[in-house]
Amino acid sequence: MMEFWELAWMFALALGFLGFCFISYKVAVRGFSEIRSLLDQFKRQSR
Amino acid sequence: MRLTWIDWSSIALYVIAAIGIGLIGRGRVSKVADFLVAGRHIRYHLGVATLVATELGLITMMYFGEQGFRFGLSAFIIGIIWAAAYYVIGRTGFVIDRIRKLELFTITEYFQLRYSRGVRVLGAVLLTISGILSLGVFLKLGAVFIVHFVNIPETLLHITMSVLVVAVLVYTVLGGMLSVVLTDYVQFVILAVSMAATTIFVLMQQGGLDFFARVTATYGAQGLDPFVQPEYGWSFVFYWSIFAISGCILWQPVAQRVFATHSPELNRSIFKTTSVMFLGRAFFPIVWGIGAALYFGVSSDATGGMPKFLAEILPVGMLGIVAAGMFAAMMSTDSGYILAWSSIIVNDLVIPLRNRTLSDSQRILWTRTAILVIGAFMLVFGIWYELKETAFRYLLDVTTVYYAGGLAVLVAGLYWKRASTTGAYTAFILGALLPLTFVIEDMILQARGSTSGGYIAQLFLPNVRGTLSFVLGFVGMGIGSFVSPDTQQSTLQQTGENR
Repeated sequence: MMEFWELAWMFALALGFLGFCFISYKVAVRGFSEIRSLLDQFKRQSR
Repeated sequence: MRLTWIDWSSIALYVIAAIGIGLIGRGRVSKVADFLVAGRHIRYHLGVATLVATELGLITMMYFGEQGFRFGLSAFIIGIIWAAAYYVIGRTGFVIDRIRKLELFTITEYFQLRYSRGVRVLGAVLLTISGILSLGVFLKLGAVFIVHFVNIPETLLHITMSVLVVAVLVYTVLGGMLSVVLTDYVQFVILAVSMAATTIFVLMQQGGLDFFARVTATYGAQGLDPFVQPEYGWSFVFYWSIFAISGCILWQPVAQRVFATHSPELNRSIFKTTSVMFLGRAFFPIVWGIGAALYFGVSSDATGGMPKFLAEILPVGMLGIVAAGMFAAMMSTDSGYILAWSSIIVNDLVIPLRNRTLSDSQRILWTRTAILVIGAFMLVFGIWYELKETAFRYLLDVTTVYYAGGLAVLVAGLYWKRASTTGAYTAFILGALLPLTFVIEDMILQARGSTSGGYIAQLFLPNVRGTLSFVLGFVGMGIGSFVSPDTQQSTLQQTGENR
């Protein structure tokens, strides 16, 4: 049973790590243009 | 002290940049919807960034680190369940679909539309108690991290923390949600880089895959199998699953982001993506905590061990990036939470109790005042209160005060036609009974200088107490609604919007 949990947590950590890195990269790159359009929207609104 | 001028420069650069970016929001917000929910203009990537940054604080890393240190890899179960809850909500749209369509600012606002003003005020009181008491330990645990990681004297630490809180308050007061979202994005990027890199360093220091074998040898079966670990087990899995669902739909900082998205459909994708991020949110600090236990020994300081360990193993340069990441975590969560609770206080306590509406500028002024009061409370409570159990348990207890009744009130309100105002009152009262009594007793014991557990703590095991509170919430809703059904339709039922 201990081997099962060891393998299960190893797999979970690998999955969590890869998912975390992939999504972080995507959000970091594409989020920037969303920030610019958000600020533009507020700028237009305040005029 | 291991931090060099390179590390200090990274920290200073980050803090100045974060505050500067936060200040961009000032002067751009004029309407209350801009201030509280960023005009509902948030799109997918920014939605993920702000949700993750807000829910990933220095406190989160501290309590997960502590759990890992004490209970080994079994603690991963916390992250698995939390991620599953977010995924299920994202996949089904349970609650979030319906609630977003109503264009609200707070969840408690819904309680008035569906039930009555009194239910809204009662919900807001319980939510404020939960939220403010949670916030109270944020600074304290943040301080523990910084003392051990940066190794600065405590006096200097209190000054540093106060300066950071003031900085957070300044940009939150001036730019509201817009400033919070902008800084959340920057903090998300710094956090992601520093967390992933730190995990690699910890695993390398522990011999890569040998880490798992070392955990097995040190902790035994209890450090791997959550069902044989006495801290968790089936009762915890059950309690934590209901708690996690409540956290996704009832917690104001999360709800505020649900209300801030550009369209109701967007929330589903944001929740599904965030579920993956939340695996890392739990796993990484747990691994750091275990690393600390293996490095210093499992009988050493479980709370301060993790930051001390990281300070020992991380190389120069990386220390500064991680410290900046931790400051980022602290600032994003504190600002998000302070804004969330201040909006509850003004929207759901001040306005309903004054019984007349406020203009947008008055509401913003009231919210800004509430932000300052909460900031002052955080400093005072953080210095006074001493945690008796783990930080994780403390946060579970104080949050269940609101969740236990709130879950029944919200879910029944949205999905059960017969849910009545009496049912809502009963659910809130019965749900809060056990956790609130426990928390009050704990505070009284603290004021008397006692360190022992109270009567409620002896009477019920923590997981049983928590599960029972949720059961009581639903039982209260059922009994109250059957005994005393509503004679008039609520505002939402009349307009047909409660679908």
